[in-house]
Amino acid sequence: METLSLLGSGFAGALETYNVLMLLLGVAVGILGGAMPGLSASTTVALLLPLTYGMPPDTSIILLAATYVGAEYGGSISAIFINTPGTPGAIVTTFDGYPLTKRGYPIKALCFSLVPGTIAGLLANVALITISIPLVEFALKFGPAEYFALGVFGLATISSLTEGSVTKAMLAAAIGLLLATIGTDTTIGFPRFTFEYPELLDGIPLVPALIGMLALSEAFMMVEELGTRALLPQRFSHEYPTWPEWKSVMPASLRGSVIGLVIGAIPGAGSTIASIISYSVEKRASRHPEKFGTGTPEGIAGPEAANNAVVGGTLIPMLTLGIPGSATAAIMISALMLHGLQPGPELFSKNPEVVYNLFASQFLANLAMLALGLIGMTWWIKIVEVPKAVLAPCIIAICFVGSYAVGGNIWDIGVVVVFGIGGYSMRKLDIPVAPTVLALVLGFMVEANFRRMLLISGGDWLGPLMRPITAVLLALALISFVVPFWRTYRRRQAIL
Amino acid sequence: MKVNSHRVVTAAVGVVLALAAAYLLWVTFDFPPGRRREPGPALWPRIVLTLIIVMAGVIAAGALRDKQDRSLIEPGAAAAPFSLMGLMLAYFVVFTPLGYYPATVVFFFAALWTLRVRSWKVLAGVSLGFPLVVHLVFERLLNARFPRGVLEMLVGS
Repeated sequence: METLSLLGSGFAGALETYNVLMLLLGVAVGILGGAMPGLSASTTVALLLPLTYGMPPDTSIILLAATYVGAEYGGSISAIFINTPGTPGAIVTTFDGYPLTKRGYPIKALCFSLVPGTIAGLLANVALITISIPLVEFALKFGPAEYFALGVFGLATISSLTEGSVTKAMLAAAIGLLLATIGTDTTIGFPRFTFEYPELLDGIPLVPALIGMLALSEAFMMVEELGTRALLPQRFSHEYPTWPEWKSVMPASLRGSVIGLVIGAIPGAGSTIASIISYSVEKRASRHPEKFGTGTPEGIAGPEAANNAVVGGTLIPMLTLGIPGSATAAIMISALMLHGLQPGPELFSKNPEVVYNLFASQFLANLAMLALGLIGMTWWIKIVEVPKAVLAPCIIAICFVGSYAVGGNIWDIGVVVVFGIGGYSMRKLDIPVAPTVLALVLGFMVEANFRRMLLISGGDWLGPLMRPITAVLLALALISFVVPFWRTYRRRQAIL
Repeated sequence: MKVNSHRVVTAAVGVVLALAAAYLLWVTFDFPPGRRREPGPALWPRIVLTLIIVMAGVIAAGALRDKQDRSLIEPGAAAAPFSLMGLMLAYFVVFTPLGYYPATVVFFFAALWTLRVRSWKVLAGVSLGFPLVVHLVFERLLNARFPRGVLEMLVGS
């Protein structure tokens, strides 16, 4: 009863005119920042942080949380339209979102991202209010061995789910893991594979590598198809999803919401892993797994729901324990601390108005995201209707601007160029780029936890891997690897 | 050797990757050991490099055994991506010395012309409009700063 009363006053606070304006501003800026390759959710939230210095604490956290919500959706816009995930969590959205656009249905692809994302955001918020304590207890069971297994599971899953040769996908993932080892070793400070280039001491910059490999390579692929029709606009349907299509994505949205919420509650796991696991679950649950990768609605809805539910999940350890579950949550914690508030159990007892304003604003932010997303669709579609001869140079220029603007470093553009050419070469050789990108994102987490695990166990490999959660995750990873090989073997036997 | 053969290039890339990974594996033997019971900085890269050698070897062998072949790039489709790649490299080289704005205008004009855009409205609109939008959004709104290059020399900072 007390919770309902606090939630009521939270809504009253969040619906004050100034707070509503900041919420709308946050969602709008978040969508734009998330859609811009190079500006991830955390960078967009960080850019807005100075604006909050003069605001009341509840308003500042409403603005930042609304930006976070908007950015996670925004990341899918560029993923769907130009095969470039605006945020790492949207990498998986490129698998089916972009193919659906190429088939001529960009509005449908956006709807399968926006609506499940909104549902997931709302459900995650309900969970945040009602079951945050048991979720935190589960999340706290994750030690280095569990994180290592989670990373391996994510990589194994994505390598086995990618279309084409599993061997090539595994090679691609291994290349990503190797690239993630470049730079100063964090345990003893030894520079690995830097070959005396000081720029490599900090490792491969993630965002330029990611946008180079996915977006630049796409620009080169795009112009291959150009003939003499350079300025011919592409024809796209403006159709919205039909009722049967909506019905088909609802189970995926619900499964994605649960996955995103649980993974989000695990500090450091993040939206990338949540969306990978969701994609894997959807492909396995589907009656037509062979259609995944060609623009199947469930392949967009599940990962996007997971991606957006992560926001609510991340807030659980942040608010209940003061543990930032992601870089964005860390920025939000710093915003609270700037106002003299300490996230953690005391925040609920000392400043419940801030907490419940945030809960209420999360509901409203998701609804605002839905409204702004629907309004914006007619505008976003103009991007894909631009002729390819114009779009391809624009993608290159956006990649350069996006990677340079964050660090002001020409080295980052060099990374975009190298990874762009590398990504194009891989595509021509039928080596999938997604496992490389994901391994680059997850590589540090996998290695750091692998070493921590061995350090804690005194060099014993077997003991930590036999812990229940670890063993289950590794067994699932093994199954993910073995099943495609088994299927290929059976197919060959059938042909013979 | 057929340069445009998918099978031949795949096998060659597999061999090169395996050799490169073997070299990097050799490099890891110069890495220091870990402190006390810590596994050290070499263990994980060695595991990954071994995986790369095995996978690259399997792919190279598979490509050599493969009876079917196709073109890596369709003959008629090669010009556009490689021209765009060349222009992108030139854009990267002049990005700092020439300055962001002049370099971007020249890049767009050259890239669009190469991709057979002949409408002067489109050429001028995109070449000038894109840097203008970037200036308003990134420099004015987000306080990012791009290299001025020759502009700085001409008109000061």
